[in-house]
Amino acid sequence: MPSPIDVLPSELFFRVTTFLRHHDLTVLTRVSRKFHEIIQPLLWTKIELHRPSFHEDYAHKELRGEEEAMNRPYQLDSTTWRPENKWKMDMEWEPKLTEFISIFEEDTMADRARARHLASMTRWLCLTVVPYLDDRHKRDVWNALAMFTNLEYLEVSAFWSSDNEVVPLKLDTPPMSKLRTVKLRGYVPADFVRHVCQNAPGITELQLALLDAPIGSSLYDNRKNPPPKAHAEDYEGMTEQELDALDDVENFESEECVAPRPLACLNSGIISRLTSLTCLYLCRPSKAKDFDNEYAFHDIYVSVPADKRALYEWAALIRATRSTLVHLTFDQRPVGDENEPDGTRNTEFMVYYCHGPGYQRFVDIVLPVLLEDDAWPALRSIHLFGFETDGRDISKYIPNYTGRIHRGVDLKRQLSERFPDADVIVGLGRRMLVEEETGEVCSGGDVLDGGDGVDSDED
Amino acid sequence: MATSTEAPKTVTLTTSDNADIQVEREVAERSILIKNLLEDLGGDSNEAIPIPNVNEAVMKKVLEWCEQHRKDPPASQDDDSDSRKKSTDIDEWDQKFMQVDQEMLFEIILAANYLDIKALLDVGCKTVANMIKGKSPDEIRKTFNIQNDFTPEEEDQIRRENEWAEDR
Repeated sequence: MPSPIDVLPSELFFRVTTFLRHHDLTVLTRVSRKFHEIIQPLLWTKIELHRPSFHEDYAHKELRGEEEAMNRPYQLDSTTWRPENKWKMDMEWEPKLTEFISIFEEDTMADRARARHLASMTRWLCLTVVPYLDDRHKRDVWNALAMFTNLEYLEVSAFWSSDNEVVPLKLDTPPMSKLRTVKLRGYVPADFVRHVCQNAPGITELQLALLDAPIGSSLYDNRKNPPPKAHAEDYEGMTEQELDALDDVENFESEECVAPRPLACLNSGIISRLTSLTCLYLCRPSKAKDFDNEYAFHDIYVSVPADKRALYEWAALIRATRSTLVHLTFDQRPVGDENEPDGTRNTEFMVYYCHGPGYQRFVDIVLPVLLEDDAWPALRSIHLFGFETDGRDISKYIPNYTGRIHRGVDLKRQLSERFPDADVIVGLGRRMLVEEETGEVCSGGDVLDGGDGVDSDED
Repeated sequence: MATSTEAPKTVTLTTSDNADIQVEREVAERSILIKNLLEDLGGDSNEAIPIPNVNEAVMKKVLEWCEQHRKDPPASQDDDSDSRKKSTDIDEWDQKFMQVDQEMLFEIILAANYLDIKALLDVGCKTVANMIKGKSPDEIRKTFNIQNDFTPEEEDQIRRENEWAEDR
């Protein structure tokens, strides 16, 4: 006897599945070949490997509404989702990530053709790259992700894989020629960034918050993927004078406390081909404090060459894309050490340090490009996070304020005058807490922001 | 001219098995298909409306639902949004209404789709979703009388491929 459910045409069967969660869909794929054929693409077309509200929680509060409106295909819904366990749940999600990516990693792959077929179904992929706890395993995640050649949307938050050997990108897969949105956060290797940005003319939305491999003398001998020694590119394009000065400033081999470094890796070819870009979001860690200052508790080494490379890349990106850009966001995250000695919370820290040396470099390198006399015909908004105190009363946060605080150049006023037709929105932003011994961002959260809730906004 | 004091207007529906069913116009107009047809025919036509895709038994059942829900507000524009999605709550009357054999259940869904009665279509689809939720593949096969045409190896491979989307 045929099954009565067979009378339903597939569009009505799809309607039934809209009332089912991912878990029930996985069960349905195993019921029969026919069900498998119908359901498998539903599971694989849009993949969001985060707990519900993950992205809303880590978005700047000024951007949260926009984030919520994205309607991400989270797997769990409000009926099974326990908000009180948010931070713990980020951890609980890790086995899922491992299971997912191991389908596509060389060592664990059952069948390459099958893996390719599965990856070809996916149009939307958003996941976190976490290290394997078992240090015998290689991480082949970047080659795994490169198999998703039909993606239109790719978003990755990558933690540093300190204990796993990472397989280099082989570049043996076709380019991801359908990408429209690329959002990369954390320790994404430069060659992977360039690989996904190959189809530059197709990309309309680009978010880059990239970090370079951690560096520092304490790391040399005890890692499977040791950080590079001082690399030649640090010195490329520098004058003799700058190189001399480097002896003093870029000497991380003797540093014990090292901040994460921003990674600039787009070549001029890719940048010049970003001809459809409408949304650009750029984020980098920045130097918060001037340590010549007698009040600094102790020094965290911040790489000036890496910061400059990042800022020159920002400048090149906005020069190349200003004819099409509609929304532009700069997100600067002053670094503070994990146990910030002043015991500050985010708000106080940001009020005190947002105009630090990193800000000054932005003012020197990027601001002049924004103020250049060229047309920005489509621009509607500029968001600035971590640059200004958003107009709040400083004395409320620093009671014994004595005027030592750095002064800004009032970016909001300057940009509002320059772009009368665009909204200039200033948010206080967030600091980046770092593990100074390893030069990494404190783990957890969305890589840029620790997930323990300690550093959440208090206002 | 029609006034509110007159007896409620009725329309006649002719089902696929040639039965004529008289029903109040307001009830029949829960169906957007019928509502649009009536509007196209003009106000006071007494013509029977043919419903060639729905038989008498199913039509009576559908009209029973329409009678119960005659005063419901019309469906809002954005009820495909996420808030609607995945909530499979069904009110008590509808739950009882849907306690029918599977043939009838799927016939009601097909009819609701054809007649364009979105709320009834959703109740039907939620009922089917609730028959699937939380069950194992084998239980689902039993529920819907579906033959397992996988080898154990194939079923296991599919389980492993989709494990990341399972609850844990």
